[in-house]
Amino acid sequence: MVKHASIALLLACTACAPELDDTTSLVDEPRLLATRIEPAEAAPGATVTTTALWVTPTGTVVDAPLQWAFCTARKSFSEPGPVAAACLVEASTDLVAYGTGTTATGAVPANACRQFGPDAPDPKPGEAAGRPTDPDGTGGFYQPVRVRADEPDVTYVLGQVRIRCGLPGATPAQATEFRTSYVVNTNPELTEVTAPTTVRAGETIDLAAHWPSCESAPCAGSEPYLWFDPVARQLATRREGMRVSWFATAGSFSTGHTGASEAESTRTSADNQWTAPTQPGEVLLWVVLRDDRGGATWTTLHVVVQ
Amino acid sequence: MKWLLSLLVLVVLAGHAFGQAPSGTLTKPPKLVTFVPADYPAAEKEAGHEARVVVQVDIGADGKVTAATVTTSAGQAFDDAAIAAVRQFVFTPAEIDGAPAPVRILYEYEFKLETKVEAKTTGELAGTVRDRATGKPLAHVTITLDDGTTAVTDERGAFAFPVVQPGTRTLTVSSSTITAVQTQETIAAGKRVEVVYDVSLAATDTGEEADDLEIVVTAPKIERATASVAVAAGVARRIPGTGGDVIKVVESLPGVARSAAGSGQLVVWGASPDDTRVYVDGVRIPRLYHSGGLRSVLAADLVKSIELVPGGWGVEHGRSLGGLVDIQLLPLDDKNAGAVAIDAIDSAGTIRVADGKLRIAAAARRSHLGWLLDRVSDEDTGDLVPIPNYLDGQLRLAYQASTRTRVEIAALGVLDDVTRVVGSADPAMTRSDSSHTGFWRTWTGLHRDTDDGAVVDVVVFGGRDHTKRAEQFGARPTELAVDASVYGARTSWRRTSGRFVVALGIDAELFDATLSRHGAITMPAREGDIRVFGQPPPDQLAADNWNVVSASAAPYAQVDVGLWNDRLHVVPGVRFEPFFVSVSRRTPIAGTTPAVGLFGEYTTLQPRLAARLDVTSRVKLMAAAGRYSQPPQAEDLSAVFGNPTLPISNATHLVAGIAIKWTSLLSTEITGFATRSAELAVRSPSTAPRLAQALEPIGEGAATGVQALVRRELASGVFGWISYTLSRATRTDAPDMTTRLFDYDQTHVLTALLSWDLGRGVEIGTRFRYASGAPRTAVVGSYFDSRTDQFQPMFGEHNGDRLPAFVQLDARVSKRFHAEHGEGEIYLDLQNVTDRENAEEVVYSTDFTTRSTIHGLPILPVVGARWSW
Repeated sequence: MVKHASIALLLACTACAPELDDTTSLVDEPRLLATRIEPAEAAPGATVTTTALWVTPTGTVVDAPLQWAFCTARKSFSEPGPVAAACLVEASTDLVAYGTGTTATGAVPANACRQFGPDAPDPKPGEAAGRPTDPDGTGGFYQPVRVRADEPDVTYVLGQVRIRCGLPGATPAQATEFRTSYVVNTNPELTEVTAPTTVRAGETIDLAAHWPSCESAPCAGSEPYLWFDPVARQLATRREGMRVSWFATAGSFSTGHTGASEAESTRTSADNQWTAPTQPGEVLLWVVLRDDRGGATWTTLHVVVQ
Repeated sequence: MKWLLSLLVLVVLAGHAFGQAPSGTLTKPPKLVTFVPADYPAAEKEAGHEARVVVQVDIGADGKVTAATVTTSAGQAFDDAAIAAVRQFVFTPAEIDGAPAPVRILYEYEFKLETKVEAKTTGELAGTVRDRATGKPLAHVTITLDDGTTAVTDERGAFAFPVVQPGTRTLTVSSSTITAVQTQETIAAGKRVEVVYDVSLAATDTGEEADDLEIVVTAPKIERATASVAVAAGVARRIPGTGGDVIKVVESLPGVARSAAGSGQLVVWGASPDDTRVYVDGVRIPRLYHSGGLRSVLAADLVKSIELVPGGWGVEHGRSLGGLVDIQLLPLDDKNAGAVAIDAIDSAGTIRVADGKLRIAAAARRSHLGWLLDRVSDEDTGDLVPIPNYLDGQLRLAYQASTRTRVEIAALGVLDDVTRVVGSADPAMTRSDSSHTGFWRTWTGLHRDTDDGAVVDVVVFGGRDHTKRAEQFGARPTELAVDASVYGARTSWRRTSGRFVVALGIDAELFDATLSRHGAITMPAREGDIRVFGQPPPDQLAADNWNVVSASAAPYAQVDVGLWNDRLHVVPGVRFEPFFVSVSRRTPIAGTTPAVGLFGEYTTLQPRLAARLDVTSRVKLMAAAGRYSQPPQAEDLSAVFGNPTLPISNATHLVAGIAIKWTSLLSTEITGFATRSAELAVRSPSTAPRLAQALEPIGEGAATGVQALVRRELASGVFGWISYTLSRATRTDAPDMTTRLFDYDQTHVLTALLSWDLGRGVEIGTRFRYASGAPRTAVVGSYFDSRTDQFQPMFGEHNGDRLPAFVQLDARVSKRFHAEHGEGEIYLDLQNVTDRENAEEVVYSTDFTTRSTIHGLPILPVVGARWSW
């Protein structure tokens, strides 16, 4: 129930929401926690290396049971979710496999900007050009990647490669400036995660994930980037927000995610608290850092619970 | 104490009894043959109050009362009692040119306390003679009874016969300034009959033939054939669960699906909420409720009645595929009155002032729930839940130019402001919502009963609508802003000619909107979107700003043909409506390319037919069919988010029903309905939609069902009804797609309510509601999106699941008390008496492995007070 249940009698507009346990921070079975694309932003046809953070309760798996494929299916507006359902079926003609294991390398489909970017998709015979895809809030377009995992059951994970395309709807001058001034995204780096290596059972400790400060792009922190504001229809400079995801094989976090929004982009760290389990033993912690433009990195911590 | 009822027939609006009016001559006036005494309101009786209530009575060609409205009020209790009694009256049919015809009269009830009633063998007749043109009393007019007895009016125009033998008596009215005329009155032993004769003075100076006593035949309102349910404000105010808000009675009427808590949406017969139109005295307003649905936008004390027409309505209304809510404001009479009310949600005040022929009314309401919560909570509750903050007001100025002509100027304004901020350590989960909406309307209305018996109504209105809704979910914005000017005119002319009632009119409206929107193309969600409550919106960002001008002017005509001695009425009609739609941008903005606009013209012909048959005096059969058209929503005409070329949507309604009047108080109405709509705007199912065609006009809708209403009219302080609707509403989003359930489909909707005046000013009431849960699309799995670090749901059959059924019991207790200068009331409105946890929405855990429901309001007592004078 909401914590203000005591005043609910006065609220003609208050509903009672259940507390649903968020256990996504607990790694109690094999899972994919993140993917990292290198380079973090690539042009169609370019070769990218995709790496998965595949973990189990016993640690990070080097040779993960993963199959990588680019999905070329567009989704309609009536279809829910960020990707076409055709990308998530076992046998699909819209999948272009490019590797297996924890890391795979493949070439971004050459028509990615047409299928998932600002270029008009191929028209049907006799019809006018179709509607381009809208960018995300950072102006980015993404080529979907389907990752199939075999353990513990067959599951699918969506990865997305940020693709370098043109600028839709801008004036020629804006497009030129954007083309010459835009700096492609760089994956962030975790400079440090502060945490004790030994804790008492049941103890709550402070954690902090740090990334570098960033004056100009490219850099591994909160990068500034050029962005076309579709509302004002002007180019503007923004900064990436940074988001930290926390995972552990035992214990619990104060919150599963922390970070710094774009408005807080001068910050170079995000705090959290973790309460150790009551049973002694070694606990693995994973910290994943993502930037707003699809970049990611991670690190692993070992904590001994006494 | 005993009370005495006396009556006064004010023969103001009947036929040209002896004149040569083009519309026909009243050859036989109506006579009251079945009189039903009104219940003296217990509280008023206890307080020793007496009163006079003047009721305008429409008498059908069959002599039955077809409508009764108060023109001179004596307070809600007296008004209700008088109306309840008059509706049960039966008259001998009036005749025009020898044929039965409907007429309108004024009828006055006098509630009078008497300690002793003596049995008398004779009756009394008294009255007043007035100049019909000026309303001034006429002195020195001689009234001669058929037994030779005479009386002469005094300076006040009054006359009296203290002893009159019972029976139908013929009177002659004459003077040096008018030609002698005759009329008849029915005198009963022990009764006093009071009459008012409005006569025209002879035009001796022009040499024209002298006028005489005129009883003007005015055309009755053409009765809606089917499925229309009207509730008087006095009854609606007493319904539990509404907090005294008379408009909220709509939620308890048949054909209306239960809307989700806090949504304030009106879903009628399987139509989208946007497809139902709301009219206030003929002026369209954009919505019925304030944000959150807690309160309606109109002052309860200025509302006369609320009528819901879920389908099959006549040609006078259009631009809608769904239902119609017709709110009639209280006619301003010559009474000074006022009221103030306060409860936990808001406070309101109303005042009515009359000075001669000029009448003014003003009302205002302001919410204070947020202010109240700030003082009982140490945290900002508004940051957790959206607390409605609203303001509304009305100002009306009426001028009663004559007994037949009324002019009114009115204005209505509504403002809503809701904001909420939910913080989070996770920058992706911080969110804020804000909604700023408002509208105002101003209108001028003219009502005139012409000399030839026609009724003319003209309403001209203008106004502005403003909506700005913004949401920020993490770094994902969604915003829609609409600023629109609305202009309209509605004129109607109605006249009786023999067995025909002819109605002609023009209904015109112009809508000029400037819109801006940015966010994901699928936000805000629309009907048919598959989604999970509370899920972050897609992170795509598009933007557009555009202008839409939509206009139509619809001439219409309909005829009510009375057949078989008026037992069968057939009402054919047609509405010819050309729509003009102009959109400022045909394609999305591209660099410096100038915008190319679009102009569309769509002509529609909307035939409609209704019929009703009086099988017996108690059983009536009704049927209606019609074609309805609706222009596209301005929000849907964006080149980025919608489709500027969307055409007119169309619908067909088929309605049939039976009404049975078991007793004078108890009735049953059962109505079957089937509606089909087409050319509905839906999201393009194409994976490569064409430019500026994110929406396509390929959706189809269907709704089929039956609704029943068992109603007990107000009498002896008791009223209530049971309404039940069984229906199935579906949508087909594209010709090759599977038909699915409509998002708001509810198989069963049952409402039962009862209100009982226990006497001594104490009244209790209860309302029970049951409604099938709305359809939902179940989540059957999920996948992880590693870029956004969010799980995404995988869905099962579209709308293949339902929320649990909604069951709720509400109760209301009120106590009225009288004082020297007014009447007070305190009430306790107890919602969800059983504290049942009704599921309002399905929610899932972050990874969609756990499912639960959000519950509606717990037991909610709302205490309020009202003072009226």
